[in-house]
Amino acid sequence: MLKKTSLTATVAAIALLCAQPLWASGDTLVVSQNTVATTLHPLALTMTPEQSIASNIYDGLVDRDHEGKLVPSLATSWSRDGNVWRFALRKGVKWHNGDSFSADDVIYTFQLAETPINRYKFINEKIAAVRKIDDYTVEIETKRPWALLADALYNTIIVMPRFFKDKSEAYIAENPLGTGPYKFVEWVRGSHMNLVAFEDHWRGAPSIKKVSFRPINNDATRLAGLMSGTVDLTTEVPVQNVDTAKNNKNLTVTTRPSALSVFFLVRTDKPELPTAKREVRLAIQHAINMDEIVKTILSGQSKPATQLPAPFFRGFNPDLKRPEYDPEKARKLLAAAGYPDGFEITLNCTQDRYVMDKDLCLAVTQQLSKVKIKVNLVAQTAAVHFKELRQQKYDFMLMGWNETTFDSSRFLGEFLKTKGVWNGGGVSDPKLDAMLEESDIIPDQNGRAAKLREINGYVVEQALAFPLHYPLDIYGVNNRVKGFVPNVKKILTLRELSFQ
Amino acid sequence: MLRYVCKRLSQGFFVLAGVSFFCFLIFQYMGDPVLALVGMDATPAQIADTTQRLGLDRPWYEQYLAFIANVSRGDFGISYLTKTPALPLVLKRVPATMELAVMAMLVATGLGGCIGVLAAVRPHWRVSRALMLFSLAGISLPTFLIAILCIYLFCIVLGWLPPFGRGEVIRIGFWDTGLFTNDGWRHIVLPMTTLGLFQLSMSARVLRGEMMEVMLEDYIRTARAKGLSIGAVVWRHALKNALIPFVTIAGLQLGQLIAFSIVTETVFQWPGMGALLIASIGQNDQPVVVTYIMLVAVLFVLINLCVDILYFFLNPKISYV
Repeated sequence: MLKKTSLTATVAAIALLCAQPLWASGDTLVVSQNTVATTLHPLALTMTPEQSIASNIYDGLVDRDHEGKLVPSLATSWSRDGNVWRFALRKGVKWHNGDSFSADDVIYTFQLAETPINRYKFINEKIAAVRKIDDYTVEIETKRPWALLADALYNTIIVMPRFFKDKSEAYIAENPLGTGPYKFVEWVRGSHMNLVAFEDHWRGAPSIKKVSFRPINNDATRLAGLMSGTVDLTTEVPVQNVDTAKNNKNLTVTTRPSALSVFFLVRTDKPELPTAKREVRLAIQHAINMDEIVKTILSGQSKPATQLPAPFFRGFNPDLKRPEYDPEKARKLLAAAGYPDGFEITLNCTQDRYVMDKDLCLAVTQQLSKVKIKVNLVAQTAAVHFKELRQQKYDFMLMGWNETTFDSSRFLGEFLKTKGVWNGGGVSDPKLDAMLEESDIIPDQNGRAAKLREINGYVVEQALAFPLHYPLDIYGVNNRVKGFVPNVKKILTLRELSFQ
Repeated sequence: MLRYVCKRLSQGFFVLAGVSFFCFLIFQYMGDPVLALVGMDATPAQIADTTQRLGLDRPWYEQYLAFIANVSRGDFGISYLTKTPALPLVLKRVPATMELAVMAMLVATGLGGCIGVLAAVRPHWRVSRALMLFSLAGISLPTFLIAILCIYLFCIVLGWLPPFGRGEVIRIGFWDTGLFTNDGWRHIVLPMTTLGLFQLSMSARVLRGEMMEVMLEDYIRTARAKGLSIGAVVWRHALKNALIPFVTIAGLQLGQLIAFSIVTETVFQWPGMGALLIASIGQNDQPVVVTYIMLVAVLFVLINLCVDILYFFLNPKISYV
């Protein structure tokens, strides 16, 4: 008898648990990105999910629209005169604690940026002084003419309040306070972070009042969250599941080209390696069938690349074409270069960093074997891969880059300029170095863009790196959410959203 | 007894020293902590400066000694990524993991025990055969697969349970618990079942074997001959004797469950230590990884000590002196 009643009770309890609707979100927008936020210290943010959260709490001096064009934010306008940039600041902006925003906050932000944890030191290193002209005007003087200052300030050194003056780094990391559309409420690491609308935001109060960020690492679980309705908005819908998600009537799948570019670097400075020869490098490119890889491995959710920078970067050259897939031509080039029987090379790849990275490398390995290039594939975790790449331990390697400044010059400088930080291929081309330096001092942006297009053409002609593809950003949105437009850097602009 | 405990504790201390040394050795071959600290956009000057500040330019034994000195003061360093102290970061995740592990153990020993007894007492009954087959599946299928199948069935197809997270938690002193809220229970059901399933199969099989052996003993036959009901014989006589090895295994299972929970936590986005470890390894956040490993090592030393002491109470004949 006892057994029976306890069984009934258990069944009743389970029924009760299940009777509750799962659409618990109600008036809260639940956002699920693929990595947990580790810090909200504005100067220590690196991963896009963190930047995405922070950009809803903080504002920068400048912002970018959906197409990536630089637009005003806390600075209403800016002008450049040689080394001196003058920023006019917005009036009537309030911090989340009620204080008023003024030039002092900007001055303080750049003082704070001197901290060793600042990830954007490359900006500070170029700045000579930051001066307050009046309460709503600041001047930034660079050490040398630097055309990229305004571009570089997007999503890097975002403006922090003087309120942080006597606070520790650990405090700032966990208690963000900005001028943005959402105020910080609560953060349980690994579980969720809750924000609430800031009614006094200078753009006007956002429509959705409560937001909860709930990171989910596992792709399948994140998709399950979206499909079961517990999640309203996710980034990184897995490429192989896009069709499944599209078939769900409650969801909309939205894509846009990302700012990421995936490519191979190759050793050019060791004469004993075949890849030191331009013909060999061209041959490798002719032997890679990127259309096939995009279609089969990336499920069509990507675009073959023609050059290193992505299409909306300054200096992107629309006239450039990928070397066409032509194994016969590749074999001829190899024979002409003195390798009629091919050669052996090791390809180093990441296995956890870019979409389908390991599978892509495996496909390339097979494709290259058709032209008698024997590739030994080594796939490692990104942390080790990046370390060894920078130590120039590899001959042939996968890399991806999301350029902060949206400008070809810094991108190419990091990878292909002599002694560049990420120059894993040991590229040292005096002509390229000179062209890059020349481009940096051209004052007018249109003139620079023209020069940069020329440089991109030169890199392709010399085959100094092998562009692969520009992945798409794939978002899943519950249909109850209106107004979602993807941004160029996967930054979620939640103030634009509303519930149906 | 006290002397024995002291001896075991001092041995545990050496184990910890060994673990820390091993950790340190592994880090020599892991990714670049400087890159984790200053990010992809770092300049060469910034990298050199950070390397020096972390002492990474010094020989490894000097670094190890400095690390030991800090740890002995309770300082596990500042997490490279979060910029906050590493120890509280890991400690805050203990309740979630412990709750999940203990609940999974209850599933494993409770349910597993029942299945084991049933299978031993009525080995030819169709139900018990089906249950044993089911437990075979629990051993042979990997946890992540079971987890994903469960999510698909219960969250997407049936829509009964939430697919991720811990739900609503209540704070009692220093401990966060989800066991006193309806929402918390709805969230823990799937992770605890999938985590417990492997151990459940183990428990069922061990107890079944023990029980079958015990059921053949003379005193069981005598008890049955005396006219005692089968229930009384099984529960009061047979089970009591079959339980000793079972309890030993159950104790050790807790440690395994904490270790196994890494997979379960990742799939269900359970905000425990395992999920933190995976995230930290992926991002090369060494202070957090070291803190986790050291904490789990301490936990294992303590669990083993408790099991040894339990032996003493279960069988007073064992002498430790």
